[in-house]
Amino acid sequence: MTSTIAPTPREVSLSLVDGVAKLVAGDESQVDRLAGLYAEQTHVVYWGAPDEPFRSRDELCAHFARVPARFSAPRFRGFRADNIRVHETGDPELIVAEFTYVGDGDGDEPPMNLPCCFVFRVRDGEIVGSRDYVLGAG
Amino acid sequence: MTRTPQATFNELVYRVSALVAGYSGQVQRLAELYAEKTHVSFPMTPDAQPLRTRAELRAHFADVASRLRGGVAGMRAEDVRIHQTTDPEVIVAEFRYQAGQPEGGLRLPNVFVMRVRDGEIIESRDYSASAA
Repeated sequence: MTSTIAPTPREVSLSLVDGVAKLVAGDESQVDRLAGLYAEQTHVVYWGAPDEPFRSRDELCAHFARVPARFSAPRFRGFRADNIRVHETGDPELIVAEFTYVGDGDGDEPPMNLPCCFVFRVRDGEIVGSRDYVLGAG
Repeated sequence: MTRTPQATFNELVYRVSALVAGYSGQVQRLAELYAEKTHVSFPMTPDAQPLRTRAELRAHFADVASRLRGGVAGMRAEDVRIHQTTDPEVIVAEFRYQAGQPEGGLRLPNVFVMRVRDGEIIESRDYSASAA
């Protein structure tokens, strides 16, 4: 045990949801902060991406580093999480976040609207697993 | 003893599997899993309107049955993970509808967030990859 109190699963999940929105909106300082929310060994699966899961903090760091370039289109401006509902479960490590990522849109591009449901397992303040149900937005 | 949220979910996916296999008699039984006034939405399906009454659910399931005339044999829910939330009425159910072989068959991942009161679904958000 460390002397500091680890953030709760709820805090960690909200921090992830918010940080991803900021990253997509262009804040590259989020890359390291987001990777730091995960355990060294983790297991992250994206729905709709049949690729191999992300299994380490390093893989996630590389993934997050690619995000700003992928999501630079105007419709991602002002990207933020809206309508957040967090569900605590009978398993103290397991938490579910429903939310919608929205963007402002720009000119001819309609506003972004991306419903998500992420199921996290958080241990000692770090994400050790998640299943991220979201349709592809890239 | 009223049906628990978990039992309600299990009955729902069992009956949906039977419905798509061609058992249209499930339409009424499925509708009866929902309260007279309910709210069922499909966040990942663009332009899908929420269903607000048992009658609308009945029409929805009848529509599914007629569109799949001939039936999808052997569809089943797999990898079911039901999470009881700290709200006793609310469960989160992750699962996948699967038909055919694991490789190359039909695979539809889903997450349903359901509120069940007195054994009837009064609210559900059905996140479904079938929109993809």
